[in-house]
Amino acid sequence: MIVTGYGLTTALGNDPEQVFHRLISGQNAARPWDDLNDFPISIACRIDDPAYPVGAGRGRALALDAVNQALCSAGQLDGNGGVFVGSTMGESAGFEENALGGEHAISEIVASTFADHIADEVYPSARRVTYGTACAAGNYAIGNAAAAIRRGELDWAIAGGVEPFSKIAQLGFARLRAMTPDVCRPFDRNRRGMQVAEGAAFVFLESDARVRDRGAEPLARITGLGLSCDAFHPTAPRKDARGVVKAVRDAMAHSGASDVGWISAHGTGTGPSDAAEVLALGEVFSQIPPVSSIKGALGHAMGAAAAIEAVVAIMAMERNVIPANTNLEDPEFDLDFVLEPREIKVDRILSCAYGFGGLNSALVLERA
Amino acid sequence: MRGPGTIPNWQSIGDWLSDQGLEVGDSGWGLYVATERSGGEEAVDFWTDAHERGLAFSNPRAFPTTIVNALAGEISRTLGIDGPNYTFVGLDSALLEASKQARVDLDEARVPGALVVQIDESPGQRHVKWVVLS
Repeated sequence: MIVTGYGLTTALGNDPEQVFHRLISGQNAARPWDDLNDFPISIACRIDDPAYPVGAGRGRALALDAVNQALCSAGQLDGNGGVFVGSTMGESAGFEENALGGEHAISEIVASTFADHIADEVYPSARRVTYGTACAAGNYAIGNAAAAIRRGELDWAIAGGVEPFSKIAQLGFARLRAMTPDVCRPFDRNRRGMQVAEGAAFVFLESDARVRDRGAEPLARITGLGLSCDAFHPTAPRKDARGVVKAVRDAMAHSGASDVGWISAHGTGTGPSDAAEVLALGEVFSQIPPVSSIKGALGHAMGAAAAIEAVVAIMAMERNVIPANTNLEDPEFDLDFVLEPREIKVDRILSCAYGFGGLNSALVLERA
Repeated sequence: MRGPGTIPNWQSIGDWLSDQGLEVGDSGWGLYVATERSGGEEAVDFWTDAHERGLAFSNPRAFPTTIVNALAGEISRTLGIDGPNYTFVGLDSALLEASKQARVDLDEARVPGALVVQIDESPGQRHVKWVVLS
């Protein structure tokens, strides 16, 4: 369950070094887009790079780019491998085009197209697993890929999440009044909602034996995954945060640890979700460690978000600096929020992600 | 697996499963849904409707149904399943992975019981099979 490679592409850049540098330097990816002028809100965090196609197929391109980055030092792929991918909607543009007369085959636009495309390109005999588990999907993919390696089912796995920009989501979240019309401010007293983003992030995971045999450099370990469901409401979290508490407790128990050095929060910038997350962290930790959400800078890439945050968490451990909670000026909650990038050696990180349908997930990552 | 049953896609799948007489036990049960295309028809419908009404007048309540795991969410709410909640997407592999994950979670004592549901969709209809593992 050792991470030996990672890759990502986001609205803040299309390689890990660039994204982390821009995060630490306080840059923000959100801006208005001309093709969204007719939408209730035209601000989004999109990738402005002609290398990626517009329309159906964009998600596959984003995913494969991030995977190829993650495989840079993977060596020759052999043995039992797996591709584990999380996504919320699949190739959303394909559904949008079909609604207006397009004729995309369903198999090319549903979420499983990503795992199929990655496997076909890099290792056709790989086991293919697709999690349609909303904005928690990246944690599902990474945590379960690690578990499959731990059980001896696989020697290695490519695991992460992808979400191409979705006009359906840009409209839907706005109509649910969950989007901010200006700046995304997780945990701020004046937070007004989330911002839709796109991106992809993947890690390359290997068994201890494979890492040892090929002399690879360990970057991090995946040690815990906790999952639960609120079973309460299609979109709103439980006010008592019971489900989040269970997911975080299960992840910590699974990892065998009692504390972490940083909590990479879900922190979308929506009122109820941020409040429930803070309540849950207070229930689980007697002393809550430093907390920040990177969604103020990157937006919410939904099915890719948790995987992006996992890669950022690994980089934070490597570089001994944790990113700030961008745009947080007036914290509503009395926590140790990271208001500026903080130079600190962190050996264990909790990364939280929740989603529509009442999904709660928590992933524990540790220094290798 | 039990079933199969065919229901119109406007009918609550949670209510249908509840009517099948399955009993979900203690807190912490897991739900493992396998589907090829859940949410796809709803996504097309949402976007069609948005363009017919105008973007500013699209139906906000329809948006959450476009998410792949919307049916898993509905089943969990109806039956009170609050443990791990999975939706696997794929043709044949999804049911295999759903069943495998349920068995792993039971063997590792992560859940006291597991409901595995396969949902095949065709226009306007859902074909549902299910099994309880414990």
